[in-house]
Amino acid sequence: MNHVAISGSLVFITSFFSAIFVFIKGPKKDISYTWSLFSLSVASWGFGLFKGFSTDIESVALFWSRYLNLSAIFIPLFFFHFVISFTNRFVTKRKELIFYYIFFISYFLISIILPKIFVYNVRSILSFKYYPSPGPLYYLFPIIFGYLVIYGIVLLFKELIEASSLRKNQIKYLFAGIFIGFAGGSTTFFPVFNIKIYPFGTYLVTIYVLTVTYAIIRYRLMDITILAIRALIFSVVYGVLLALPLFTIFGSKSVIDRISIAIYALLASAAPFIYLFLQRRAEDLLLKDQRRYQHALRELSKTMTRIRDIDQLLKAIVLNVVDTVKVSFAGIYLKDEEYKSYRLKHCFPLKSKDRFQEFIPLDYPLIKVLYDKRLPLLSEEIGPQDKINLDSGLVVPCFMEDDLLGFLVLGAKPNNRMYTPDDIIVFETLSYSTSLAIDNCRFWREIEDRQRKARLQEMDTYSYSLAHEIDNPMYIIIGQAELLKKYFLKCIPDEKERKELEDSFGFILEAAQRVSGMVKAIRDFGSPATGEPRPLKIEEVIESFTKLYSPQFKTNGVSYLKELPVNSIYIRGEKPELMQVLVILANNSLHAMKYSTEKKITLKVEIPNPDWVRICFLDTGCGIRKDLLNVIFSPFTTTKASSEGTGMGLYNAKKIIEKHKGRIWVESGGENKGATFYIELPIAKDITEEELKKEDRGKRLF
Amino acid sequence: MEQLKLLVVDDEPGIVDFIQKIYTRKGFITFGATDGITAVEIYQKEKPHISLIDIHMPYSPIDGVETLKRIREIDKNAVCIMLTRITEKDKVEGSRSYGAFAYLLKPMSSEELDGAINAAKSMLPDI
Repeated sequence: MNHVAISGSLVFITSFFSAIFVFIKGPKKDISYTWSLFSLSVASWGFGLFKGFSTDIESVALFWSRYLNLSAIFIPLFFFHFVISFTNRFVTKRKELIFYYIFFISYFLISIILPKIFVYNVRSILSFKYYPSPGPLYYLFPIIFGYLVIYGIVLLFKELIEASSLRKNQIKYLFAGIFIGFAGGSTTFFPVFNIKIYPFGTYLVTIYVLTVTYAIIRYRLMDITILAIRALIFSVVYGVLLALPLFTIFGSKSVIDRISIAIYALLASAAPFIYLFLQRRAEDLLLKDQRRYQHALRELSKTMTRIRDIDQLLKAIVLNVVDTVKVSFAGIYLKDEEYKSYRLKHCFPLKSKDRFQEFIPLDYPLIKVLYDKRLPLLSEEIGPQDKINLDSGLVVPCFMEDDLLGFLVLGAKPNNRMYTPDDIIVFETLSYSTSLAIDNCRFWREIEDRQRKARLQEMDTYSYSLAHEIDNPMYIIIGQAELLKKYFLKCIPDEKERKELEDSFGFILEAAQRVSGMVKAIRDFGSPATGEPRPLKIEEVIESFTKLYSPQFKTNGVSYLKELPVNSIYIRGEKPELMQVLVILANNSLHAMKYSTEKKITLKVEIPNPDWVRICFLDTGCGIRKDLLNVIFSPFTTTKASSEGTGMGLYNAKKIIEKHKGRIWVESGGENKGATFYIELPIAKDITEEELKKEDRGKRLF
Repeated sequence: MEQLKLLVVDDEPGIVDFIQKIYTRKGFITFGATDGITAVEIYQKEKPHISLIDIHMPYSPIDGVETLKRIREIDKNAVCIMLTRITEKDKVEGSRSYGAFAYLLKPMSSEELDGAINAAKSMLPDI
């Protein structure tokens, strides 16, 4: 075996695959067909080289020598045709092309009919035992070969100069590849004409295939898609690898050897595919269960973000995990700012609740570990310091950026099987989507809150203006009724009838006055703060509040007691705002006393020192836990169900009192021992007679 | 003693009506208007001694303050009592600057109304 044979086989394999590939995958255009034909002729030539230079028998060598040279006749022809297609010159060069076809085919036919005048014989030259020697007709061959190839290359070069940048790159590679290929291939001519130059260039023909392939991939030479390109790469690599067994097949003499090697090569080729196929089937079978729940969890991840209610969301997650993964139990914790801890929100089955501690403080070791690792953790990774009884389970943290929103605690898988790395990846995905979904819920809740607040505000202004709109008609009713009463009483002589009429008017007036009174109370309470503190008697605030809330206390069975000092105490402030503070305290007390046996509210006004007046608001409700005494004035703090309160009441009360330059605080003996709210306000001592006169609501003269 | 003339301006006809009736019975000559333009016309013609003007009149082309202003342009000594609501603080201030005599918060009791009108009477030059 010599180098020419080896390079010939490489040329054959690469060109052949290139021809087939472009023929099948390339666009259905001349350019693909001509390229395929060109490559096929090169492949055929390469095959001839391989056969002719790997034999020891003279007749065989002669046959293949003729074969390879006959194949080579088509190389320049098809190349030229390809260049015509590639440069879109078919219209102008058509006749020329037909002429070359006729010429080359005639040359080919003559050579095949009279082989001796084409390739005369084989002889030994250089290190070759048999090398073709030329017949008379052969001398024409390099000339027409060179002519057509150089003509084609010139056409390509012209195209290269005129081309756009992408096409320039395409042509550059094609140009370089073809140039190298022909230069290399042409070296086989030298020994034919007894020139003692070794045909070193045959390897270069392989390079041309690789270069053009690169151009096809890199610069989409023939609009071949990525998928096709992968196939191409695969075939080229595989072809090169397969060259070795092919050598052996053709080099071997025994038929059995050849067959067995062929089978071996076939099996070796098929093995990777069989392996992949079997591996997939085996995994499908072995991990059937795991696949199923992984799929289910992925589906859950997708649907989760559509849930807007956080409780529903958490419940759905826990139930789904227990149901699909069949873990012994699952629970979910969520960060609870108020309690400075993570709080158990849901668990399933319900009887597993004893395993969980309801609150896990923020500084607990488990939380630190989760912050450190940020990944689902197996119980053995957590360490014994943690108090949750995990039963070889998994903890899945849910992070939003750098904030641990919460985490999912899972029990053991059925039959105490291990959590696999695959599982952990699935739970990691679940944790991401859970974080997103939780955030999503919060976002929705915030929007709803805002909308509700806006609605309340609208209702507020609406009811206030409504109260005013009621005023006018009520005023008409009262005024006109009084007038009518006077008229009619005069006109009715009968004593009894007059008495009846008087009663009727009495009812009308009384009812109308009641409506007016209610409207006035609403107006007082709802009137917007004017922003300028007025001199105000503290007992006036308390009286108004008492009027407003007595019915409430009565219906709730609360005994209400107020203790006021004998003398009037003036402060500066806004009556509606101070009333609102008392209303907030009263609402809280009513809520706190819902289940109390003794229901009593006491309102005391004291003067602890000459500068301050203190209002004490005592109830006999459920009291306040010591640790909450400080936080209850913070916003969004509530012990009521979300539908009952916004957690803003006491926060607002505190703001109002602070605006009045006062203090508010609370004391409680602990749970079920009632609570006392204290409000201290500065006493106004600099109020002048004029100011008071101005506040006199009767007649106002300028 | 000459009979006192009272002009009542309110865009609620029901209110104008009963105030007129009450004060007619008390011996006043009363005029009613449910919009500012008519009120100014009546004032021009009748020159009432006392005018009661509602500030808030959404159905009138000009509000009470503007009516007051125009009346005071006709007679710079016109005695006007404004009827108002607690929310109309700046309008009350406005009417003060245009020379209103007093203001009453609606809804006012008949005593409050009487008090204001009596006070206004004492402001009038000898009649």
